[in-house]
Parts: sequence; C-alpha cells; structure tokens
Amino acid sequence: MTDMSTAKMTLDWVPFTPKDVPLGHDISLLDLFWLVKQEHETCYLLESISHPRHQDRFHVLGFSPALLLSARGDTLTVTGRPEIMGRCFGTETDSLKIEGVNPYEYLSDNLDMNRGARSHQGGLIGLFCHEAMNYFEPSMKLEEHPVFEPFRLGLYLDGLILDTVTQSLSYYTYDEDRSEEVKALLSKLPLENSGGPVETRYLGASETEESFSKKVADTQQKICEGYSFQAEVGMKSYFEVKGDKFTAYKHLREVNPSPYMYYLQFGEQELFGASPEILISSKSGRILTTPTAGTIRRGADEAEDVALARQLLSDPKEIAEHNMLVDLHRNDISMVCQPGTVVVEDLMYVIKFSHVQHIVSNVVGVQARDKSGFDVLRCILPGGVVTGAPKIETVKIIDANEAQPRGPYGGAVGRFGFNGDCDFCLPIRSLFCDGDQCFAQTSAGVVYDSRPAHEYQEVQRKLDGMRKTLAKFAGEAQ
Amino acid sequence: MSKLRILLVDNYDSFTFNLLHMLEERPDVDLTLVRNDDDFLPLLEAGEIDGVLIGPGPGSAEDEAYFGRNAEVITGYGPKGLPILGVCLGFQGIFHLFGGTLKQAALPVHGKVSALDICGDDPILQNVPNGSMVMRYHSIIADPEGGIPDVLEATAYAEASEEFAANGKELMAFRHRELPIFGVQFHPESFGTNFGHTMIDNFCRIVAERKAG
Repeated sequence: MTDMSTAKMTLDWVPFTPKDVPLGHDISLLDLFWLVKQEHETCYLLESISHPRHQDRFHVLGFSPALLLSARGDTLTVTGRPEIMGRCFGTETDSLKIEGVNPYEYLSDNLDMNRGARSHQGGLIGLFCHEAMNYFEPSMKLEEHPVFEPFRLGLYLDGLILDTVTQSLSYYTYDEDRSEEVKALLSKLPLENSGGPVETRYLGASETEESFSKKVADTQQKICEGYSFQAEVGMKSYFEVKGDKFTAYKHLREVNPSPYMYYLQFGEQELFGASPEILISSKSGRILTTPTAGTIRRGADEAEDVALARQLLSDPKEIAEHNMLVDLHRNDISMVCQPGTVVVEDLMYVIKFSHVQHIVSNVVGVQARDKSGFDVLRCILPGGVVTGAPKIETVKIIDANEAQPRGPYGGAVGRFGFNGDCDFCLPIRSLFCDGDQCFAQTSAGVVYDSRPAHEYQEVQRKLDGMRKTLAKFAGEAQ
Repeated sequence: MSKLRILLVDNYDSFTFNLLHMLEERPDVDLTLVRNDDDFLPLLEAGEIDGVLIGPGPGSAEDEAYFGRNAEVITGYGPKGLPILGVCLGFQGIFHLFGGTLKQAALPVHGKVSALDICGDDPILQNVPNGSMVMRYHSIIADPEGGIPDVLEATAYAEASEEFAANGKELMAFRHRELPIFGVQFHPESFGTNFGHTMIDNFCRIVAERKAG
C-alpha cells in the first residue's frame, strides 16, 4: 500500500479506439453473466428489458476491471494491476490511497474521459450512494453508510456488448485481450438452467405503520413551515439471502421486467434492481432526464388503461407534484447546460409499465462545452424523485427522519463512458446485499395534504415486486 | 453600453439555476451568482453591482439562518437606489423588512398555478396581460390582515379561486413607491408561468435605466 496525497491520475494512455472481436449471435448474455460471475468477483450487467429504452439498445457486461476506485470520506482508494496503476499514477503498486482530497473532485479534475470510442465501450462503471452528495454540496455532512462507500467504480477496459436489434454479441478491449477466456465460457452455452440455489428470509422493516405515519406528520409540519414543498419519507426492509443471488435477479426480471435492470458485484457486495427510470444521461452533449412521478394501476384492457390515465392526469395533487419535479430537473441540468437550451421536450406523457402507469416528462438540454460527465452527474445526484425540493433542505429532513444512511438507494448506477457520454439509472426497486444481509428501500413523496395511511400503502406497494421475487425462495433452498 | 452587472443570490434553493439561465440568455447581462451567506457585500459596497435578484428558498425570511445577508442588501443598499427584485423568499423578505407581517398560509400552494389579478402599475409586470397564469411554490404568505406597508404598493393578487379560498386574499406582487424595489411571490422562472421572460426582461430594463442614470 502506497500513500500518495498528491498523486496525479491520468487515462491519457487509453487508446482512442478499442479492438472489436465479434463473438456470434443469439447468445444469452444473462447466462453468460452467470458463468462470468462464477470466476470473477467483480462484474456488472446492465440490460433493458422493457420500454421505454431511452438509451439501451445495447446490453453490456464487464468483469475484473483493470482498477477499482472507492471513496470513503476524504480518501480515494485505488487497487488494481500494478502495470495499469503505473500507467495511471506513474507508480507500479497494487494499491494506493489518496488522502485529504474530495475523491469525486479528484476524479473530475484528473480524468479526461473524452477518449473517442463509442458510449457502451467501457469506462468507469459502478455505483454512487445517496451520501455522495457530501462531495457535491459542501454544506452537507451526511453520515456515510457503514457498508456501501459513497462511490465505488471499476475502470473497465474491456467487456461485452449485445446489440439487441441484431442479437449479435461482441467483445471490445482497449488493452489486454481476454476474448479467448470469453470464448471458453461461450462454449459452455446454452445452459439448461443458470443460477444456483438460493434461500431468502424476510427480517423485518425499519418502520412500523405507526412510526412511519409519525414521520409523515413531522415532515408535513416542516412543509407547512416553508422548509420543503415535497419530501420523500422512506423505510428499509431487511432480508437474508443465502446462496446464489443471481437466481433471485433472474426471477426479478420475470416479476418486474424493467427498462433499466442491473446487477453489480464487488466481492461481498452484490446489488441488483429493476429500475423504471434513468437518473440522467448525456449522449453527444445532449442531456436527458425523465422525471417520473404520479402513479396509477394498469387497467384490465385498453379502455380501462385510458380511463385510468385520464383519472391520473386530472388529479391536481399528482400534477402539482409532477410540476415541482419538472422545475427541479430544469434547475439541476441548467447547472451544466448552455443557457437557453433547457426545455421540457415532452410534458406529462403516460408510460404503461408491467404493473403501473406513470406520468413522465422529458427535460433536455445541451451540455455546455466546458462541462464533463462528472459535472453532469454532480448536478443531479441525489435525484429529486427520491428526495424532493428544495433539495438541500429536504435532504436534511430526510436525514433526520431516517435512522440509517440510505446508501445505494436513490444514488446512481451506471457509466462514465470513454467518449465523454454518461448514463446513470436510479437504483430503486432494488436489493442491496453485503454477504447474506440485504435491504431494499422504498419511499413515498409527502406533500402538505398527504394521508399517512395512503403513503404507507404506497411504500408497501413499491416493495411488492422485490417482496414477490424474494418470497419465491423463502425458507427453502431450490 | 457596458453590461448589466446583476447579482443573483441563491438561498440554497433548487430553482436558482432556472433564474440564472433566464439572465444568462441575455448577452447584455454579466451575472454573478452567490449564496446568501457568502461574503458578497463588498461587491455592493464597491459599486460593482447594478442590480440584485434575490431568489427563492426554504425556511423563513425572518430567520437569518435562511435569509443570510439578503436583509443587509435590502435595508443597506435598497435605500441607495440599488434595483432589487425578490422572488418568493426574496419577496417575503422585502415585505417583512419594510414592516409587513408574514404568516403560514392555511393552505400551502406548491406546484399549482393561479391567474394574476393585476391591480397596480408595476414596471415588472409591464406587457404581462392581466389573467396570466403564474406558478406558485410557497407555504408562507404576506399576511393580508397585517396590511400592506405604506411604502409598498400592492400590484397583483392571485385571482380568487375556490381551491385556495381558505388563504384569503393572496398578494402576488408589489413595488416600492419610491425605490426600484420589487417583489413577486410566484415563480417567474417556472415552466408553468406565462410571460416569465417578460418579467425578467423588465427587471433588466429597470437596471439598465438606473445604470444609465
């Protein structure tokens, strides 16, 4: 371990164009991921298996990144292959700590991600927690989650891309060629059944209906006093998951097929989810956010769907909440966009998901020339959908309400690509595991006239997908 | 003519950058963004600012922890003729510092629009048609029972509606009778406000006129 507080980091040595290796077509990326997971303790899978797919025609997989970067307080820890460390830092070591820095600003200041290539070909990929906000907003002093660091990223120099339009799979690499290793795994496909046995147990929740209702009432008092317009009141549900968590993810894909599905593994930490929305994306300098708020169930047929959508879009409370989010998102992306380019491209359209319909708007803008992908994520994390407005004051209310740090819930999962693009989804409807100990969080947007019983129902309903998924494996190994 | 040096005060809010863009879209504006507890008064003292926009924000304008140095801007530099526009919290702070009373509304109005009932000649509302819709986000209101301070003139109310009847008559805009000081309770920067750009342009015109002397 080398201590270096003044070390500079560079990615200037990364080639502009990766080598591509076509691997065939009609291959199950999911099953391949399971095989990869048996041999690599750090890996990821990002896939999009229901509309809307604002970005992800391409599903991607990566394993054993060249470097791992994680933040704790004012320390950035980097581990990896000495050869890569040498190219990045000028010192061939397998691990170093950069202390006394703001780890996010360190990356932002040091790394130029405009390396050419295409947006899905690697980059810095991983997880940001809610508490990463401390790095963006100096007035925040949120307690960090004991297990999940404010952020954890892999530097992925190679990986697999599945083009879902052509069903072709390809391997890319900027450095070492591991395609033979991938081909060896491909030779094991198709599998009869991927995923090992898993056993789950529900351990309880952080709130009872009574304690939750009290928090709703306290929050409403703060709203009436002018400290917030809307604040998300949340609760955690705890589970024990023993065995192969991939099996649970595979089932989640069936129970709740979603536009932004992900599986991240960093050793003992495994996180997976079925996110309905992106947090933010920037492609070729065009920024997109899709604030999603306002929910109603699906109808039995087209006519009932329409009737329910009509009911949703004529509910003044739902519209007011959505208005607030649209203005909040306009504000957030204005921090990184050219003045005059931020517009509400589509206002309040309705998307039908597998179980519910949501009101969604597209807020877009043109990224300012002097802003990077790091600036783009910084402007919006944590997203307004899981916090509220005004954001800083509201996060203080959330912090006072919730006994434990949120950790990954409402943070960001995604990628800073080597072409300067970035793409992050919102980790909600997700399970966060440290070994066998896992939790899910759900929250409800509280406004001055919310009814506590209704909000409690909402946090329960939002948990349905994950609860149903895990219940299938309750108490007995498959 | 030199650029209009406008100071935008952020009250740790989440709509500040919407206002910022409206100003930065104008080539004649040289904008400085500060937070309400930054040490920005020397800029005003040195005469380096032509106009101040006090933005929205959480909390109470009567509480220094939430209103910061804005109170000194209003009471220290307002009387010297510095043009000031207060939005939401800024509106409330100006109203309070000139002697008005603030109170919690019976019904907070968050993310809802009202029609403007324009009742006075307000340069900020020039070319804004009566009945224009404006977006509102506020829990605190200028207390109508406390009366309007003599130095201020009420220039617009929210058009009476059944939905917000419990709040009584809600003041939406005022101007100072002698000084170029203005307040709007609603949010000109919201996508849901009609003629928001017109209002900001009007403020810039006032600043320009003042600067030209």
